[in-house]
Amino acid sequence: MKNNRLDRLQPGDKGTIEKVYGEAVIKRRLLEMGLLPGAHIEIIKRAPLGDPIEVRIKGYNLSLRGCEASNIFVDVIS
Amino acid sequence: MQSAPGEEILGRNLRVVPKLKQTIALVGNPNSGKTTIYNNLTGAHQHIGNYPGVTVEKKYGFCRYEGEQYTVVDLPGTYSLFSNSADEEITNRYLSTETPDFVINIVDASNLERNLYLTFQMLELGIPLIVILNMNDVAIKSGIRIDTEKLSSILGTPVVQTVGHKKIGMDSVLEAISKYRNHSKPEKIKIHFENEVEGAIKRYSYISSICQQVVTKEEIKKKTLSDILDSILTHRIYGIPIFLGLMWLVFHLSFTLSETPMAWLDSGISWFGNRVAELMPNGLLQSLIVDGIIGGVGGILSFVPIIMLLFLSIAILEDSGYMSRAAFISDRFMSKIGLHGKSFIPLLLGFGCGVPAVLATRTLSSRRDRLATILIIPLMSCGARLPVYTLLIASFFPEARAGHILFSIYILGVLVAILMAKLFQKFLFSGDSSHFILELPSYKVPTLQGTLIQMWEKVRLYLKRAATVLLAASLIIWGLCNFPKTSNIPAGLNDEQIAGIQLENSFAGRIGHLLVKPLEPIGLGDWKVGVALFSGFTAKEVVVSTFGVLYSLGSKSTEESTPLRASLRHDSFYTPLRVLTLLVFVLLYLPCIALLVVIGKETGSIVWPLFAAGYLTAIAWVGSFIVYQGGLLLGFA
Repeated sequence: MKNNRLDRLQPGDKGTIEKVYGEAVIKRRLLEMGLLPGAHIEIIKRAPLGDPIEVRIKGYNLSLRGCEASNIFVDVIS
Repeated sequence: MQSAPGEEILGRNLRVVPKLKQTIALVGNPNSGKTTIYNNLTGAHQHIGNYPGVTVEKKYGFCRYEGEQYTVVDLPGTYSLFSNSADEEITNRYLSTETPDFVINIVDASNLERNLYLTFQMLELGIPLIVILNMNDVAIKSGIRIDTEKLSSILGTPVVQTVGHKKIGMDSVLEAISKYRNHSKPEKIKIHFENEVEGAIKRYSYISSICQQVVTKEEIKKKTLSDILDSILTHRIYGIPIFLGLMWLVFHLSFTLSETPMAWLDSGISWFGNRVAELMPNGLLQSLIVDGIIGGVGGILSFVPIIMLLFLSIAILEDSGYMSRAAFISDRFMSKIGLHGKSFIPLLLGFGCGVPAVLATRTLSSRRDRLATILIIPLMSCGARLPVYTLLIASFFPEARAGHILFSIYILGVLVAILMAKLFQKFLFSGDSSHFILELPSYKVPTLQGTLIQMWEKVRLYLKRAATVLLAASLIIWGLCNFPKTSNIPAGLNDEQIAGIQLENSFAGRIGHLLVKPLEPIGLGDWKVGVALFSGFTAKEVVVSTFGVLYSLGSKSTEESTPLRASLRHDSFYTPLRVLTLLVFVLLYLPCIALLVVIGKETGSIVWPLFAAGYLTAIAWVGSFIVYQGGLLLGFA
C-alpha cells in the first residue's frame, strides 16, 4: 500500500485518506466536504487544462485544485 | 381579507381571527433541489425584499395549507453553518438573528452523508427541523434505500421523502408542516470538541454510524447518465471546444432569436409615439412626452428580448448543472489572470446586466477574488450599451460589416478585461485566492418553472433599473436640453437654426462645450458627443435617447420624427474613424450609476465604485486615443 499525496495521483487511483494537513480554514473546509481520514476516495479525472482534479468522495463528485489536494495523503489500493 | 356574504350581515366580530403567520426557512446544501421545493411551496406568490440593515435581498413567499398561511424564506445553499462565502454567511446570519419558527432542511437523498453534516449542525443548535429527503428518484436509481422512520427516530425530527422536480411528496411536506405547528422544541444534540476541525471529524463519525443503520445500498456497476455526460463534456480534448461552442451558442441564440421580437417592439413603440404626438398640440409638453419619455424609455425596452434570452440560456445551463463544469474547465485559465473558476458565471451575466452579475459574485469566498471579478464586470459589455452600438454602427457602416464590428467590440471588452485582471493581480491584490473546492452535481433536466423564475429574477433587476433610473434620466436630459432658453438670437434665421442655437446655449450644450477640450485629442471634440457621453453616466441607453433629443430638437422638421440614423449620418462631424473611436469609448468608460451603487453596497465601501469609475474612464480615454491617433497615423480620415 503506497502512501501518496492526492495531487500526485492519477485518474483511476482509489484508496482511503490517511491524513489531512493544511492551515485551519482550508483543513476545516476539506473535512466538512467529507475529505476525512478513513474516507474512501477515487480520482476521476483532471480538468482539460490540467487543474483542478475531480474526485469521488462520500458518494458525490468534488473538484479541487492541486494545491488544495496537496494537503491530503492517501493510502492507495492498486 | 374578504368576508363571506353571510358574515357581512352578522358583523365583523364573528369572523375568525387569523392566527399569526409562521415563518419557515428553507436550508440545505447547494444543488439539493431546495429552490425547486421553494417554488413548489410558494408558486407564484414570491417576493423579494430586504433584510433590515443589510443590502442583501430576502427571497420569501407565501404558502397556504388547511386555512393557515405560512411565510417561506428561501436561503442561499450552504454546506456548513461555518460560512465560507458571502452567500453562506447570509444563511448563517439569518438563522441566528431572525430565528424562524422552524426550518425545512432539504437533504439530497443520493448524497446523504455530506448533506447530514448541515443537519447535524442545526440539531446541535436546537433548531426545530423538518428533514426532506429530496431527489429520491436519483437515490433509488443509484440503488440507495433509506429507512425514513428509523432516520426520523434517530434525529428526532420528522422526515419526508420527495421528488421535487416532479412535485411528488409535496402533500406530505405540507402535512408535516401543519402537524409541526404544535411540536415541542427538539432536544439539542451535544457533542464535545475543542475546535471546528475536531468537530467536523466527530460529526462525520456520528453521521457514518447513522447512515450505516439507515441506508441500504446496492452496488450498481452501471455508469450513471451524469458520468457518461461528463466523460464527454469535461473530456481532456473535447471539453474545451464544447465549452467554447456552448458559450458561442448562448450568445448566438440570444442575438438571433430576439431579432423578431425586437423588431415588433421597436415598431410598436414608434407607432405609439407617433399616435401620441398626433393627439397632442405641438409644444413643450408634447416634446417632453414624445421625445423625452416615450423616446427615451420606449426605445430601450425593445432591447429587453436579448437580455431575457441571455439570462434564460444562463439559467438553463446553471439548472442543468453544467455551470459547475464551466468553472471546473475554466479555473486554470482564470487563476492565471488573477480570477477564479467561479468568476465565470458572474462575468457571463455581465453581458446581460452588471447588477445581477455583481450580486452573483457572492459565491466567491475570498474578498480578493470577489473584488477583482467585480472590477472587470463592467468590461463585459452589458445589454444597455447595445442600443448605442447598434445606432452608431447602423448609421455609419454597411450592414454586411455590422456583425463583425459588433463582435469585435465585445471581444475587445473581453481582452481588455483579461489585461486589467492581470494588472490587478500584479499591482493591486496580493491576498490569497479562494479555495476552489466545488461540488460537481449530477446533471439534471432543467425545469421550465425553475429556469423562468431564475431568468425573471435577473431581468427584474434590469427592468427595475431601467424603469427608475432611465425615466428620471430621460426627463433630466430633456430638461437640460430645453433650458435655459436664449432670447439673444440674431435675426433672419430659420426654425432649424434657431433651435440649434437654443440647444447649444442650454445647460446640456454648456456641459458639452466644457467637455470638448478633453475629448479633442481622441477625436470626439464635439459638444453634442460630450453631452451624450455625459448622459451615459445615468444609464448607458440614455446615450441613444440623448442623441435623439439633441438631433430632433436641433432640427424642427415638419416630419413627425426624423430617423436618428439619418440625422447622425448628415452630421459632418462624423467620420468612420471617429465612430469607431466613439464605440471604443462607450465600451470602456465608467458604468452606469446603478451599477456603481451596487458595487459600493456589495463591497461595503465607496472606494471601489470610485476606483472603478476612475480606472474605466481612464482606459476609455487611453484606448480611444490609441484608436484615433493610430487610425490617423495609418491614414484613415
